[in-house]
Amino acid sequence: MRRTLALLLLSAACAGDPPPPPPSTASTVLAPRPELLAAGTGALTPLAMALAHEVSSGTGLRVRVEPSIGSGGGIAATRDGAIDLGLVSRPLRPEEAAGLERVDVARDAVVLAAASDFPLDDVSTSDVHRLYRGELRGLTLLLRDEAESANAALESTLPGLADERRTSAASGRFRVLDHDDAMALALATTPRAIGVFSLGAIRPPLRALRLDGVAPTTDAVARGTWRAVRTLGVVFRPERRDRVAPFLALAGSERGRVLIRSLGYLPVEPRR
Amino acid sequence: MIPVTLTRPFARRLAPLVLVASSLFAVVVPLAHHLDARSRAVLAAHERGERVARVLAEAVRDRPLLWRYDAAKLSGRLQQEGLLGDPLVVRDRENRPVTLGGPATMSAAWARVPVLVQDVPVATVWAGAPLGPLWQETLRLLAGCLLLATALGGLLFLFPVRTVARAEERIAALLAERRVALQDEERRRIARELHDGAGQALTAARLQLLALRKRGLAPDDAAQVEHHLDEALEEVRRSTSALIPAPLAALGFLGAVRKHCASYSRATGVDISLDAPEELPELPAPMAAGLYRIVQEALHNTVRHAGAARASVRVSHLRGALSLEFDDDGRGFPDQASSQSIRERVAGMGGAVDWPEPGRSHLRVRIPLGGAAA
Repeated sequence: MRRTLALLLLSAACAGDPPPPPPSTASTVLAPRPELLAAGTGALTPLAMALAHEVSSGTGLRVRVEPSIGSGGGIAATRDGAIDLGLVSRPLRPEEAAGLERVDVARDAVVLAAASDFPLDDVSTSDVHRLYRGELRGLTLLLRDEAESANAALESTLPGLADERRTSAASGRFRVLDHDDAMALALATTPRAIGVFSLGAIRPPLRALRLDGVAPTTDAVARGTWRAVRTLGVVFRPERRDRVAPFLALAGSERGRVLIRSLGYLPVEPRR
Repeated sequence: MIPVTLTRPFARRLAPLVLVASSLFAVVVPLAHHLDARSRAVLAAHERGERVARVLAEAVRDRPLLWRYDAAKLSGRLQQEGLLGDPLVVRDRENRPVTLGGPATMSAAWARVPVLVQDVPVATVWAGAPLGPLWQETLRLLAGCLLLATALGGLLFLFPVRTVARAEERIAALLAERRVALQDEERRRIARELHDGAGQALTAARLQLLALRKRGLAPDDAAQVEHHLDEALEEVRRSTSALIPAPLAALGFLGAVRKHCASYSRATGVDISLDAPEELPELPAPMAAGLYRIVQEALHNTVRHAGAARASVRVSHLRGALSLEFDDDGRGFPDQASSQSIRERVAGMGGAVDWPEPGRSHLRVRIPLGGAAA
């Protein structure tokens, strides 16, 4: 009897695996790798890759740009020393900014992108709201995750759209993509799909749609007629300023500004 | 009412058994339920951990270097797939935490699932099944089982105890009835003893006194009357104490019979002859008393009803039985109704009576000796 009870209690206590051990508390900053490593928002990835190519060609410094991990991931990885440059598409929160330096690189137009089979070239504000409410039949809206800064940029110009997006996302009727590369792939492979995207990251077969007759171009951004815009930048640890200096120098140079504009971004005005 | 003590000892023995059975029921059922629910929860947690591990493995394949910094996106995807509702702990290969959201770590049963990419472990997932609700459910079940066990235990205890109590009352009532019957029988037996013992002696004394009245008082006659009265007194004393005839106690069965025949013959003038063996097997006291009373009653009938001048008594022992035979030259034995005491005594000893035919005097009583015949 006593033995049976002991066995029962033992089996109760042993059901399942042991709990997770205490995590490693080591907070040391990782040592830099031989190559310069950059990662973060997918909106800046194409530009960062182009700049990296130029830096490598000009200085021999090997620069590697990792796939998108989002602005938050880029900031965290930079703080840990896992990468040298964090690519960001939103302002840093106070707790993120501590111990990091930021340099703005370009301004990016947030657009509604679609593949070539999409039946429209121009959508109205009303269409966008109806699309986000799921009232436009025959079209497939693809959404970005809640943390994506492109949402905020577009929704700042279209009052009420944020609530409609959240309602649609919560309904489960729409696909939600976590990264720019995933969104690009989904837009290209989903029939009659439309979704929020970065103008600078658009590559064929994707194209940017006009909104209320305004085409999203760098000129429109510069003129202020395209208002869904976000500022892209890089963050780095101050002690690695020398490592990232060639990258920053190129981004701020005239050659770099030409490169930025050629990729569909608008260079930020140099500091005076 | 005669006190019969059955219920209390029975209850004392039953109570621990019922307590143990009820306690086992109250504890084992919730415990078994808890173990079963816990093992099912761990299985579900393991399945959830495997799904999380698949998502993480995909993330590691896409971003082998920086996957752990894509936690916000991973968290969103896990949330979308409904995998963040319960505790979830993820550690990379260096045991650094990967924060994916979900509830804070709490008391849980854990399932550990490695994240493998091309069979190489790159991280570990601990999916937890929260134990709080499980314990609450178990405690609720325990409370219910305790109530049920208490009720069942009460029924298991009270029903048998009440049945035994009713049986106890019935037994006590039967014993009381039996006691009354025994007392009644004893009173009747004492009455017979007085009738056959003291009654005979007093009758003899009375006859003696009648004879004296006719003949005039002589010293020997007075002594005989005195002797009969003393004997009657002694008989009464014996009846009220050990209820054993006095001569029987002093002389044994054969001696008492010889003495009674002689004294009765003298008292009544009837010529009584006795034919008896020198020895008999030792008789049980109640049987000896019963046989002695039969002899007294039979001779009394001979004198009182038959008007005989001669009488004979024969005692014999043959084939495990004792035989008493009476005969006289009188008018014959009275009817059987007047010899109720003989019938009852013989029946009480398991024997048989051969009653005389009308007008005849031969009476035969046969008593099996049983153990006494050895």
